[in-house]
Amino acid sequence: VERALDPQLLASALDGGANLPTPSELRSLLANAEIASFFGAGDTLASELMDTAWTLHHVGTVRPALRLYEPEQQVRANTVAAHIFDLALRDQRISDGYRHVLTFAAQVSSIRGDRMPNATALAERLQPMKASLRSAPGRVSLELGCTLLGLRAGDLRPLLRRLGLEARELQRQEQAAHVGVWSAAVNVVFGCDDLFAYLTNGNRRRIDDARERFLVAANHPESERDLDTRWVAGHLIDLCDDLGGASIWSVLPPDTPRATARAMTVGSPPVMTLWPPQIAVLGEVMCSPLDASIRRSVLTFPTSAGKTLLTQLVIMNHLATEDTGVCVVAPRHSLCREIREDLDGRLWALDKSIAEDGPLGDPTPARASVVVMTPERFAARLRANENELLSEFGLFIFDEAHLVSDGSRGWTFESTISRLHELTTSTAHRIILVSAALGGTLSIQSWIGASDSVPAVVAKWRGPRRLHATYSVNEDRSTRKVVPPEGKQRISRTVVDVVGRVNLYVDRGAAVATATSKVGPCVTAGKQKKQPSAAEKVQPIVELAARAGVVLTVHATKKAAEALAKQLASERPESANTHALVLLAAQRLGNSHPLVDVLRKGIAYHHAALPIDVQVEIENAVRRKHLDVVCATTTLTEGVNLPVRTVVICDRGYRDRDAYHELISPSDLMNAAGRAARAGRETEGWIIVVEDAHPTPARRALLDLDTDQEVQSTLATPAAMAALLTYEQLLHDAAGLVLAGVPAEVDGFLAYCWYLADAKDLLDVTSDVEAVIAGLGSTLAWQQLPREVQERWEAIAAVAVSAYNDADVTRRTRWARTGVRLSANAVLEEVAQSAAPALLSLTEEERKDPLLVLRKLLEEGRLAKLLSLIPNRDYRFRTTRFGRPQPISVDVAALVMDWTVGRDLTDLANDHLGAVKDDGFRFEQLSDFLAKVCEHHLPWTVGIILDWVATDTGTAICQEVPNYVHYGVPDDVALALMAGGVRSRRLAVAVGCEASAEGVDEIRMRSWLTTLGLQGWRSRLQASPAEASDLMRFVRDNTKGMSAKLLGGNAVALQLETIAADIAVDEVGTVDFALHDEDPRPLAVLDAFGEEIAPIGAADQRGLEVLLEAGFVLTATVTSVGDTPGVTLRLDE
Amino acid sequence: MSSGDVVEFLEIAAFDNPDATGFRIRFREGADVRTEVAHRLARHIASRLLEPADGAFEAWADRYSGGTPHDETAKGVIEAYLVSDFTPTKDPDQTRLRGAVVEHLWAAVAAALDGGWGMPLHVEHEHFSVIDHGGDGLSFYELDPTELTFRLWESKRHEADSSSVTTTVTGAAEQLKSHGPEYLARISKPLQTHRDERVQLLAGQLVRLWKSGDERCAVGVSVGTSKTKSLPTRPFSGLHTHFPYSDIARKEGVVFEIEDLASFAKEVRAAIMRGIE
Repeated sequence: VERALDPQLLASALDGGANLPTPSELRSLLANAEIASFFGAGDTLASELMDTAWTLHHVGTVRPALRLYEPEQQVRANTVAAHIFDLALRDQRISDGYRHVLTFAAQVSSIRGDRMPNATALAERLQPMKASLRSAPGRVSLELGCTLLGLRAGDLRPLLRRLGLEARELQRQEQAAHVGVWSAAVNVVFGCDDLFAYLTNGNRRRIDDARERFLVAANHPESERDLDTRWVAGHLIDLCDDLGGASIWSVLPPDTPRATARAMTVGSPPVMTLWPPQIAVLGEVMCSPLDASIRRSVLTFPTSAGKTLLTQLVIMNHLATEDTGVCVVAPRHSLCREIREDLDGRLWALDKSIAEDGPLGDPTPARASVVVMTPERFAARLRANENELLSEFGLFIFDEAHLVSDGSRGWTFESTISRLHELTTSTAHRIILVSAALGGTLSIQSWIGASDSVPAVVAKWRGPRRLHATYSVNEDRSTRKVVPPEGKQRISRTVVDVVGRVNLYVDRGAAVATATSKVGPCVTAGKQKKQPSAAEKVQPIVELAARAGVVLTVHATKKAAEALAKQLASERPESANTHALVLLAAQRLGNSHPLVDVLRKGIAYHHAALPIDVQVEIENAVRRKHLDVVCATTTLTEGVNLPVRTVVICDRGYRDRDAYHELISPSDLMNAAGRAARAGRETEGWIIVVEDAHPTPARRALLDLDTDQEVQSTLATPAAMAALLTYEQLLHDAAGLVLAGVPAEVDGFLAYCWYLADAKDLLDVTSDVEAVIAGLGSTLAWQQLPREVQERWEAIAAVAVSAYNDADVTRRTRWARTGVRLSANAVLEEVAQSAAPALLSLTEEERKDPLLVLRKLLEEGRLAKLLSLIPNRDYRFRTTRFGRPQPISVDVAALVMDWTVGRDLTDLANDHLGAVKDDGFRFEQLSDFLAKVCEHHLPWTVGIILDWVATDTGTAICQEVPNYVHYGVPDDVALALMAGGVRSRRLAVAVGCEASAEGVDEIRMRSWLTTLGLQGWRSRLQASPAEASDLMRFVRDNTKGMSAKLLGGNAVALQLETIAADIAVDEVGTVDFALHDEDPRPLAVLDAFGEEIAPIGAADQRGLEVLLEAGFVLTATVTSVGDTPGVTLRLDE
Repeated sequence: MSSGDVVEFLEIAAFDNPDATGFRIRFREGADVRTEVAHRLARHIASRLLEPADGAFEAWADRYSGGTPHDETAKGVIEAYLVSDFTPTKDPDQTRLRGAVVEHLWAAVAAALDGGWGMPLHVEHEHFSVIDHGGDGLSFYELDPTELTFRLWESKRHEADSSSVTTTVTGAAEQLKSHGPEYLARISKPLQTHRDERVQLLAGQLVRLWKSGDERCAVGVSVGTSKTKSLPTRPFSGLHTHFPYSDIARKEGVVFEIEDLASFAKEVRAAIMRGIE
C-alpha cells in the first residue's frame, strides 16, 4: 500500500509552524485528488493542496548547508510535494509552460525525496524539447532541466549538442563570455553538459565545473529577471550533490573497474544513477554483491525497486574482474529472452557476448560470456557434467527464485540449487538468488548458507506509488421487480439490477471512496436465471481504468482472457494504432482468428497458446502504447517488463462443484501486481482485484501483497505429506523400490536421491545412504521439515540408494543424468530398447536425416509410450470448450511430423484439428500441445533415447533431432536461426526455403542475409518489424568488437557496399538513421547536409545503433570510393 | 538615471486609511508634465533593464536622442532586454503593457516611499517567466544588522470602466495569497546562494514565514488607475482582509492616479521604441 499517504509520513513531512493542513486533512485532500484522478475527473487541484505542495517543496529543497530543517524531514516533505505535483500534472488544461514548471518541481522533489525513478517517468510525459536559447532562455532552462533530471541519455546528448552550439554562437556574436540576458541560461546549458559528462564518464572535475556554472547562473546580474533559469540553476547546484552522490561513479567501490561503470552508463538503457535500495546494498561493506568474497547472496527486492539493474551490475563487474562466465537462470523462455536482450544492450561496452542456451535435449551447450537458461536446462547441464559447468561459470544467478515453491517445477529448481551449493561450498563460485517474493528469507539464507554467513538483503523501497481497489459485482435487491408474462411467456419474470462496486484504498485502512455502476439485469423465470457474463461484469471497471492509461487484466484461464477481450472489443470503434499488428496476426493466424478482430479495436489477449512472435509483437505494442487493454494469463506477468498503469486481477481460479481451484497463487499475484507502474515509466499504478469465489477476499489479497510470503519447499507442503504417506504404504507392501503408481512429489525425490548416489560414486565417496542423506541436508526442505518428517523421507532415500547399488553401472549413470522422474527412466529404457533396431535399420546417410530418424523413432507405439509419461490432457483434443467433452481423433504422430517439417500453424490447425469449429479454441489446443509436447517433452525424451541408442550401438545418429522438434523447423538454416535468437518460426522456415532455393547453406547463411539487408528481408521474407529486429541481431558481426573500440576512442574502418557517385575521399559526414518511418530504422552514412550517401550493412547496423541510442555522434570520414568504398568511424562525444 | 528623475514630477501624498500604509501618487500640475514623465519613465526603464549589458543603455540613449540606427546585433541585444513587456506584436490588447508601466512606476518611486521599513536592501522585480502569475516584486529590508525582513509586491492596472480600485486591490491581494508560496518557493532557490549570507538565510525561510504570517514578512500592492477624482475611502480593505496583520507597516498600498492610463502606457512604449527602432 502506498506509503506516501501514511499519516505518520505526512505528519513528519509537515512543518508545524507553516500553517498547513493537519496530517489528516492533508491525507483527505490527497485521497480525494487520487479518487478524482482515478475516475478521470481531471479537476484542478484544490489551491490549499497546491499551496501545501509549494511549501513542502520549499522546505524539502532548502539548501542543506543552511541547516534550517532536519534532513529526514526534508526527504519526507519532498515525497509529499512530489506526489501533489504529480497529481496536479494530471490536469490536461494547464499551459505547456506551467507543465514544465510543475514537472521540474516534481522531479526535484522526487530526487530529493528518494524517489529518483519518478523523475524519469515525469520526463517521459513531456513533449520533445523545442525552445531556442535566443528566443526563450528561461524555457530552454526549464526544458533542459526536465530532460536532465529524466536522465535519458539518448535525448540529452543531442539536445546538449544543439544547445551548446547555440550558446557558442551567442558568445561568438557577443564576442564575450558574458552574453547579456542569456548569460544565466548559457551557464545552465554548459553546466548541464558538465554534469552529464560526469555522470557518464566519472570525471570529478566536470561536476565541480557544473556546480560553478549553476552558481553563476543563479545569481548572474545580467539575467536577474530570468526567474525560470535562476530557479532551475538554484536547484541544479544542490542536485549536483544528489545526483553526484547517487552516481554509479560515486557508489561503486573505488577498486571497481572503470569498465563496469561504463557498461552501465553508456549501455542501453543508460544507467547513470542508482536508487536507494541499490545504493544501500552496494554500500554494505559486509554484504555487497559486487564483492567476490561474498559467495552467497539472497536479493529480495519488491518489483520496481531495481533488482534487475543490480543484477546487471553484478554481472558486468564479474565479467570485468573474473575470467569465468556468468550463468543466469530464469523460469520462462520469455524471461530468458528479455534478460538476454537487456544484457545485450550493455555487454557490447565490455566486448562480451550473451547467448540463450538451447532446449532440453540439445546436445550442444551455448558458449558465451553470459548464458541464460531455464531451470530445467540448467539441471540437465549440471547432471550431464558438473565439472564442465563449474569450470565455465563462476557466477550463478537464479532469477525469480521463489519458483522453488512451484508445485510442478519447484523440486527440480530446489534440488539443482542445493546440489550446486553443495558442490561449491569450498570453491570461489558465487550464487545469487533474486526474487520479489522471497519473504521467508531466513530459511532461504540458512539453506544456501548452512554454516557459512549469508547476507540477505530485503528492501521495501519502491519508486512509483501503488494504490489499491477492489471490485465486486452483486445483485441489488432493492431494484427487484416482477414483470408479468408477455407474448408467449407463461410465467412472470423477476428482474434485478446487477451492480458493480469499486472500493478505492489509499492505505491499509478502510475504503476512501466507493462508486457503483449498473452492469445489467439479472432475469429469473422459474428455474431459469440469466445474468451478465463474467466478462460483462468486469467490463465497467476495465473501461474506467483504461481512461487513465494502459490496463493489463490478468486471468486464471485463457478462456477468460479471450472472453473479456472480445467483450471490450465489441463496443469499441476500430483503432488506427494497431493496423500493422492486425496484418501480422492475420498473416500468422488467419483472418478468422478471434485475436485479429479484437486487435482491430485496440485490445489484445495474450497467453501461451499464441505463437511466440505474435506474443512478442503484442508486448511491443503495449510498450508503444498502441494497445489500451491487454487481457492476459500469467504468461505475461512472470517477469516481462511491461509498462502498464493499472493491473486488474479478474479472477484467481475457478470454482467447480467440489471446491475453488486456485490458479493464481499469492506469488503469481505479487508478480502480476508488479506490472502496475514500472519504475522510471510511471509514477503511480493501480492494482484492482475483482472479488471472485476465492476463499481469500479481494481486500485481504491486496493487503497480503505487502506481506512477506513464506516460501515453502515443495516437500514441505500438505500435498507432499500426503504423497509421502501414499508411497510409504506402497513400499510397505513391496520388497524394494516401487516404480509404479509413484506420486509425482516422491518420484522427483527418488530421482534426486539416485542422482546424489551417482554423484557420490563419481566422486569416489562411499555410495552409502549417509552420503545421500548428507546431500539432502543441503536442500531447502531440510531447513523447513521437522526432524521426524525428514527421517521418513530419509527412509525412502535409503530404499532408492539400495536400488541404485543393485543396478548395473550403465543404468546407475543414465538414470542419474536424465532429470526425469525416476519411474520415467524405466519407460525410456523400454522405448530405447525398442527403437534401437528400428534406427539401425536406417542407412548411415538416413541416420543423419533428422526427419527420418524422428519418424522411425516414433513408430511402433513408441510415441504413445513417450506420451504416457505426461498427463493425457496434454495430447488429447476435443471439439468444444464447454459442456460434455467430445474427444476427436488426431493422428498425433502426423501432427508432430508436420510441426517438425515447418508447416504453418494455420495449416496444422486446419488439417489436424478441423473438427474444432471455434477458431480460437482450435488454436488454443494446438498451441498447448505444441508447447507441452513438441517444445518440451519430446525434445527432452527423444534426446535421451538417441543418446542411449547411439552409445549402446556405437552408431552415429543425428543428435540434433531434439532441436528440430523443439523449434519445429525442417532444415539446418532454419535451425541455426532459431537457435541464434530469431523468435519467429515462420521467418526461420521462410529463410530456410529461400536459402535452399539459392543454394545457401547454414555456414553462408549469415553473409547471405546480410547482403539481402532490411529491404530484402521485408520484400522477400515479408519480415515484420520484430522479425527484422531479430535478424538484425542475428547477422550482427560480433567478431569486430566495433562498438567497444569506438567507445574506447579508437577509429574503426568500415567497408561499405556502395557509395554515392559524387562523394570524394576525405569528405566528412555522420552515421545516423536514414529513414524515420521504418521499423527498425536502417542506418546510413549522411553527408554534411544530412543527405544519405551510403547505406550501412546489416551486419554493422546493431553495433553502431547501440552507440546512437546512447546519444553519441558517429563521424564518418570517407577513405575510399569506387568499387571498394569505405569510411573511418570515430565517436564524437 | 535615478528614480528622482521621475519622482520630481510626481505628487506623493500619504493616503490615510485604517487598512495599510497608503500612498496616493499623481502627476504634478503643469504643461507637458505627463509627456515628460512618460519619457523619463522610459529612460528609467531602459536604464534599469539595460544596466547589465555593457554599453547597451548608452546605445539605446544615443538612438533615442536621434543617433544612428543600431546594427542588427546591437538591436537584438537591446530588444532581448526590453521586448518582453513592450513589444506591440506580443501584446495586442496592451494589457501587459499597462501592467508593466504600473510595475515600473512603482519601481521608479519605491525608493522614495517609506512604507515603514525604510529603504530596501535588495529588490527582485518584474521577472519574466513561462508563467505569469505570482508576485511582481520582492523587497528585502534590513531592520537591524542581523535580521532581514521582506515584502512581497503585486502591481495591478485598474480598468476604470469595469470595477472599483478596491476590487483591483483585493484581486491583487488574493493573487498574493494564492500564488505567494509558489512565487516565493521559486525565487527563494537562487537567493539561497546570494552573496549576502543574511539573504541566503532569509531565502531559506521565505515560504515558511509567509505561510505562518511571521512578523518578518509584509505585503504591498500598487495599482495604476485612470480614475483621478473619486478614490474610495478604504481601497486597501481587501489587503487587510487577506493579510490581517496588526502592524500597519506590514501592509503597504500605492495608488497611481493617471488620467487615461492606456494612452500614457502607449506614450511610454513609444519613447522606449524610439531608442530601439
